[in-house]
Amino acid sequence: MLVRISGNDESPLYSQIAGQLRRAITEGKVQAGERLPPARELAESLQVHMHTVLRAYDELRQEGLLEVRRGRGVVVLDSSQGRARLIELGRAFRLEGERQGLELRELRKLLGEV
Amino acid sequence: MVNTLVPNTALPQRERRLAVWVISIAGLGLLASVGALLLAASHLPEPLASHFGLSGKPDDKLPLVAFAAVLAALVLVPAGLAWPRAPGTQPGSAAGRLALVGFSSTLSAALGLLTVWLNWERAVWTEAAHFEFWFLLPLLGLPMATAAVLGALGRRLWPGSVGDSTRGPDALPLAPGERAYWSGVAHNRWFLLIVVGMFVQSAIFGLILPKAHAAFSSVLLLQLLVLPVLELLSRIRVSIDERELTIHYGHLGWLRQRVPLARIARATAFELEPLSHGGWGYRGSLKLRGRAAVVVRSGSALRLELRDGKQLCITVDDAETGAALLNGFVQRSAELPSHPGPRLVEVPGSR
Repeated sequence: MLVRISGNDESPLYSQIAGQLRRAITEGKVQAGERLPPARELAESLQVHMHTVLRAYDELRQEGLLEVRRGRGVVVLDSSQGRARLIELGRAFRLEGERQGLELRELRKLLGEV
Repeated sequence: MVNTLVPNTALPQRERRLAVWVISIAGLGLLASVGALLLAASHLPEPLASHFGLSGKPDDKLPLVAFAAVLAALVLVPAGLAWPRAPGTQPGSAAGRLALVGFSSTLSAALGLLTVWLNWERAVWTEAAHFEFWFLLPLLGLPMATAAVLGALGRRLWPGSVGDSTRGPDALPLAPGERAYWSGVAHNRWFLLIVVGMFVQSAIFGLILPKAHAAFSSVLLLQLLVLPVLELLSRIRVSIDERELTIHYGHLGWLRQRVPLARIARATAFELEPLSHGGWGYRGSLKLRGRAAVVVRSGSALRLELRDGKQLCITVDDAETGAALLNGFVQRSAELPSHPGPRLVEVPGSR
């Protein structure tokens, strides 16, 4: 799994990290059941605070992509790929909507009509 | 970057020449083992003593034909494995193939000749001469010496690999302030299975046979030494960041090996064939031989070409991305000698 972050990017670092991890899981670069590297290692490598990485992991955990297992670290879940893909697509949908000046309410309505 | 090595190494002529060597060595091996056995047949008991106990006494027998078949298989099976394949299908070095076929042919010949000698002019197999412990020395030493000589010859006659398929080592473009990290794993579930199996077996023996036989205890002790090594090789993880590449061995990842990025000149991804790197495990030595390979399984692998001309190969999934990131880091540090770039600013609690 590849994680790239940039200080020039407008979105906060934790969400950049979460996005990259989400993509890696969706694309199958990290298999279900596989452990993610320890947050400390990722933080040191990316030269960010460990809480930033933990926050990214937590976001993915809330999305049902990851599970935190005691003593085993952070494990990628099996049922996660479909949902992760939906979230990725939804994000793109929402971004494109915002670019076209549509509000969330209008986007919801649009989604219902599809 | 264009890899100029590949077109040269993929010439079918190279493979053909190697095939002739494999046939010749295997043929000599067969002649010395099976040939000698058949020639000496009238001077040997039927069946002949084929296996010897720890004391050196013969403890098992085989009909001459069966023993000849065993000797032939000992030559032919490795020769089949070492047979050069069409370019791109099964890459591997000529050195590894020659060493393998040299080892097995010499082992077969040594085993055949020794058995003939021990059984020479005996009426029944139980009267065969004793197997002295020091016989093991030439029995294993000679094949190893042959393998070493043929391996060195193979490296000289066929530099590079035979039928290697190196994938594009394009560098991942990295912006000056950008931070990046990559992590990949390689599993070998067979190693893990063996570890678990041996552990269970050791536990059973330990429980059922508290006053185990001395030989048993030594087997258990040997297992205790082998177990951790197998565990360490049943899973490895490779992580790459701006400073170094780290290999984490085993499920716990406590044992680590680091290669500073400054040491790396270039990285490529390729399909690794364990045979051509001397088998599974940690093969070779960076310090002593300038070449090493961490082989957990066959398939996707990372090849690091170091600045001092040495080479380290590591089996890992999605090695292409890892190689691209390494090349990206190498390229960026060449363009910006005064790296690291601007620190990333973190605002606590930012959303």
